[in-house]
Amino acid sequence: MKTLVKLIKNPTSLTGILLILFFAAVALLAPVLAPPPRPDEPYRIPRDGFSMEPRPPSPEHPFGTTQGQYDIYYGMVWGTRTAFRVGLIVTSTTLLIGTLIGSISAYIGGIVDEIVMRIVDIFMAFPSIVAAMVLATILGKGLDKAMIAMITFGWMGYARMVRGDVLAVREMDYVSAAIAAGAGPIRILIKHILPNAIYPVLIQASMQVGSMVIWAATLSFLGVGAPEGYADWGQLISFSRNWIIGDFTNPFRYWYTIAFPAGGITLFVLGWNLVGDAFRDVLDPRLRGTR
Amino acid sequence: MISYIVRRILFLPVVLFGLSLMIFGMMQLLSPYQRLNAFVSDLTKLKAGDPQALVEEYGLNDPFYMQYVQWMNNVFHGDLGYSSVSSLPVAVAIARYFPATLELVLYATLPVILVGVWLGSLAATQHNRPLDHLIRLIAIVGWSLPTFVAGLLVLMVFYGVLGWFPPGRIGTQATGTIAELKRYTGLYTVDALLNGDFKLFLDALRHLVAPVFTLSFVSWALILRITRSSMLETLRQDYITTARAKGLPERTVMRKHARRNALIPVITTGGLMMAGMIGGDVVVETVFDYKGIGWWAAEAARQFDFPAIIGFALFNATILVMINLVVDLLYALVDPRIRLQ
Amino acid sequence: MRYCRVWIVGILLTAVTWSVYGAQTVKNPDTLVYARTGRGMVLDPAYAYDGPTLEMMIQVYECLIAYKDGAANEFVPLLASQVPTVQNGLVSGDLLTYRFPIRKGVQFSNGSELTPEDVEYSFERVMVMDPTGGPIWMLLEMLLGVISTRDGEGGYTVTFKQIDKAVEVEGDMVVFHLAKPSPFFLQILALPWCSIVDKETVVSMGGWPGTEETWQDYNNLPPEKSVLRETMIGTGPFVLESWTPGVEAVFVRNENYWREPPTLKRAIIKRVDEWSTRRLMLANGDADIVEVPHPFLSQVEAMEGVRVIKGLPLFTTYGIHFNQNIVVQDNQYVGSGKLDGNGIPPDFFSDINIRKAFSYAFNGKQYIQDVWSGDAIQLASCIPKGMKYFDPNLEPYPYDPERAEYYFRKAFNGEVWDKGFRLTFLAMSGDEVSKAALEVLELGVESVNPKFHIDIQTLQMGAFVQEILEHKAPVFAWAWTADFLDPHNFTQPYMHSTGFYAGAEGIKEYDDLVEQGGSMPDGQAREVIYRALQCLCHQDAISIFPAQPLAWHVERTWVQGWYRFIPQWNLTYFYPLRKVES
Repeated sequence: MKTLVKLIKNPTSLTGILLILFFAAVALLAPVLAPPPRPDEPYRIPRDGFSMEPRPPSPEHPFGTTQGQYDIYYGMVWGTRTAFRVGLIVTSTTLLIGTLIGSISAYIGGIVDEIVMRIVDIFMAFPSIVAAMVLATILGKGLDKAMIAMITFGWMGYARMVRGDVLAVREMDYVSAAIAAGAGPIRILIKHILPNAIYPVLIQASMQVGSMVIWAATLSFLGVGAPEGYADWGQLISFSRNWIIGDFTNPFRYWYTIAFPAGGITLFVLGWNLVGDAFRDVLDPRLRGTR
Repeated sequence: MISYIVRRILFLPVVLFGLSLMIFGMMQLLSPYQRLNAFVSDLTKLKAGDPQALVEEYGLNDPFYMQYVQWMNNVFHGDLGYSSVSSLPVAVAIARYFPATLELVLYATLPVILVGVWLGSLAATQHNRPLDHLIRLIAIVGWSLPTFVAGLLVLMVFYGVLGWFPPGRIGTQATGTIAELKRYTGLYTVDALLNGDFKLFLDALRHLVAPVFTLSFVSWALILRITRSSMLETLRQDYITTARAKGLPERTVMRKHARRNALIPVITTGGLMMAGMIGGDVVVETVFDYKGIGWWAAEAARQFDFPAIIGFALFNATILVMINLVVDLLYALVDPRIRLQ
Repeated sequence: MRYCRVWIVGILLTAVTWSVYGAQTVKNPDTLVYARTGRGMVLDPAYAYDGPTLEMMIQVYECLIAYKDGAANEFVPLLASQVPTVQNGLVSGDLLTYRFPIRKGVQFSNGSELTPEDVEYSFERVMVMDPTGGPIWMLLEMLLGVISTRDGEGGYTVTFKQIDKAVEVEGDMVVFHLAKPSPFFLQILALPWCSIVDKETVVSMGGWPGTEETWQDYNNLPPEKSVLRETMIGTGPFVLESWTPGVEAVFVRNENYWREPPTLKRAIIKRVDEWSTRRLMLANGDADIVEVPHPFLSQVEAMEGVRVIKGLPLFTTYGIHFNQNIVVQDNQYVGSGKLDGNGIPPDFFSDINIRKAFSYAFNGKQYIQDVWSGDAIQLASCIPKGMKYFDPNLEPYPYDPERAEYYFRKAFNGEVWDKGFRLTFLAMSGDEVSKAALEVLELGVESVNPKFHIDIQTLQMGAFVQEILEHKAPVFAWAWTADFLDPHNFTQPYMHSTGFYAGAEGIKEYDDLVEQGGSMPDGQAREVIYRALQCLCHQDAISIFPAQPLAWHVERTWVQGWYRFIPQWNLTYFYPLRKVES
């Protein structure tokens, strides 16, 4: 509770929280803000015709249309949902997997720990963007496939971190006391070790949400992941790449194709990063001794 | 110490083996027809029976272990396979494309670290005052900007509007010179100087500005954050208070005591960051038409050019293990508190 | 840190200096830069079948004859000194023997003299090699009557003697013996897979020695084993100075060229995948010719100093294909696999009413207008406009929702109308125009009856082709580009059971007619056959042909001399080009 108050008092973290709340509101209200013409396919951005040239903002299209006449406003609104989905699902899953693997490995120790950590090293040796590209291309088009690819190559950092923290905390007195009192290993892990080891991991996770969205957008930009016409900010930006240099007379003629999605993604990521950063600052004293 | 180094190096083959196994495993998720993509230039021209014949010829239907053993066998004979994406043997392709990435990384690491450390310590000394907040804000905005957005904007402004920094590695008029150049390293700036061609050197440098700037812009925030928190921690230490109490000027306190100790974590992060960049930044290389191994790996990924993907992964892993080892050694050297296990 | 600040100022100063320095050297009057997507793959004539590789080869290699500028069926002699015709006696009366006198005094770029033996070797070599999936089937079909040297069971369909006899040297001439008369033999000879290589050079590099004992060793080698995969020694106007695959190819003038050497000293093909980057290069003069995707033509037309040539005929047809014999097992694109409102049965498209209904439901006019801005025409059948025997009187099915409804009601005794259906259309990812065509069709069909449900999926190329080859794709859209300019090159893939599309659709009934048309000499009888084929294609509504695009070419105004060296492809031939200050 004290932490929460501290967070709100800090101007940068307050901005972050407000940003996130704003986007959360947009995501929740998506069906109201941008009613889907096809209720069974709400993530399919409606196309107003087929011509390639984007059209500027107008009453029917408040943010304009992008290449292929996809409505940018609709894409932004439902893309918020996609961003939250991707960010939260991938982060929480990688966090879970990483924590599980890291803590169990650290607790068991010995040869198991060695082997698990080598496996982590092997995964980390494969650059994550290329690795995710390879896996996602193999699995095919689809946001869920891209998420699987990101999860497969995104858990290692947490595993390492948690393992280090668990190793350090394991030696602490209160753990020895619990063991002496006769508590079983799982209970010790969950009730005593993890709550103390988890803070740096949570900080990392809060900042990762934004990174995951960027990662997904980069995959979209590179042609992997969400199918064409799916409401996803990365998609919208990749549609803009051929138009951001405008035309010969006016380099900024198609400004809206990049301004809105790029602004959206940056603010979204910014919000999470501000919160994460403030989180880290506020909890700073607690970190001493664990790493 | 020696045994530590040896143990770390011995670990390399394990990583390489594990990686290759993992990628081969991923390959098996594909049906043989899907993998034909890498071998055939125009799939509509295949005659009836061709796809099946091709699948047979390339052994795409063989069981997993057979294909893997075949590949391992080739590797032990020095053959990393043929990259269809670049129409070159994999080893040659790596040698051809890596210097471009290396050049980019070398030029980018310096500004990233210098600027990051400078601004980070500045922010730490001005802790919680307006300058601190401003610097951190700019850093976070930079960190929040996706690389491809930054790259496209840089391209738009510095090439589209201003015409200063064109894409590619070298200008058109220099293409002839490059062909006649004696290659020492493959890095155009270095080779140009070694050949005594100053004009070429400047041209290569000019083409480096935009991609290096983009790469740096997105990365210095990390160094800044590490420097700042490390400095903050160091500044709270007793020996700093003592130094100040002794009456030493603030500048000496900073330079001689605080900064040196604060920079220790920067070494680790900087090294890891550089290791990460060595894999090539796919986005930067694509947007700026600066074809290094990052670009090559992305092409290979898109077209299922598995020899290339594996070659790239193994190459990258080797460099990573080496850099990690060097960083850990440096770390141990610099920080007496660290013990190598 | 003070030195940090100095560093930054230093960078800015140098940056400004370079910009000034750089801005002065934009024009390169004797170097031409051509920026495009796509990469060259294997530079060996036996393998090369894709645009980018062929574009590289035509600068360095030459054939016996070449297309005459502006004509689709006339030729000029190149390495031959005369084009054989029946009139000049170089073609036999039964059209089975062609004699080419070989030009004298021509040298390869490495100094070696061109001899008739080189010509004989060039042809025999590619037939000996005949890699799977390569272009040599065309030569084999005409000279030996087979489409592959291998019989698919580990054996060979031809003997070496047959290959040897097909092409022979007679004094100064090279003689070709055809297996059956072919109306398009000369066409094939003008194409890059018939490039002439130097026998001594290739043999010394480790290529096929030209003997019977070794021919099987060189048959169907994987591309990485080909000795010519990255080297080209030709007689052509340019020499390949350097090639970084996937990045750029640099060509330099061949000073010993047998004709007038080219005006350009150097020509570079640069691979630039980002359209924005290419456009900026064009605007800044860093590229002289640039590949422009159709949607962005409007951006380029308004640019100063840029010339856009539109309305060039292109022999590429886009098609939407109906699979008449779908494999429904393990097939996620056909729903339930039955006519129960949730899927389609395997023979759904074998009912002509369904095909006609879909054809009437396609709004071709809107498609051409919106997606192509009018720079394409819709076709009534598989043969494109400008091709020999094209029937201008056939009209594509107009957009007529009422007729569509009529045919839907008729289909399967009204069951389709009552129960509805569900299926998925497939296109290749990246193929925007095909996907747009499917969306137009989807819109048209779904608006006829709310019980009709259509999804559209795009697949990566390998997966896409797999679904087609395994007959799982119920409806798919793709394109076909002509290899050579003869209607047979279109009827074969679209209407013959061994063709890529017809094979996938399960169509067999036109085989005889297609084969007949492909082996007759030109004339009235042949015309009749092709009129019939077009009529059948249209009547039976086997596919929709939403577009035959018109090609375009974009260059800076200082570029002069561009023409279509090979009429059916939009390749750039550097020989005649020059950069003239305007």
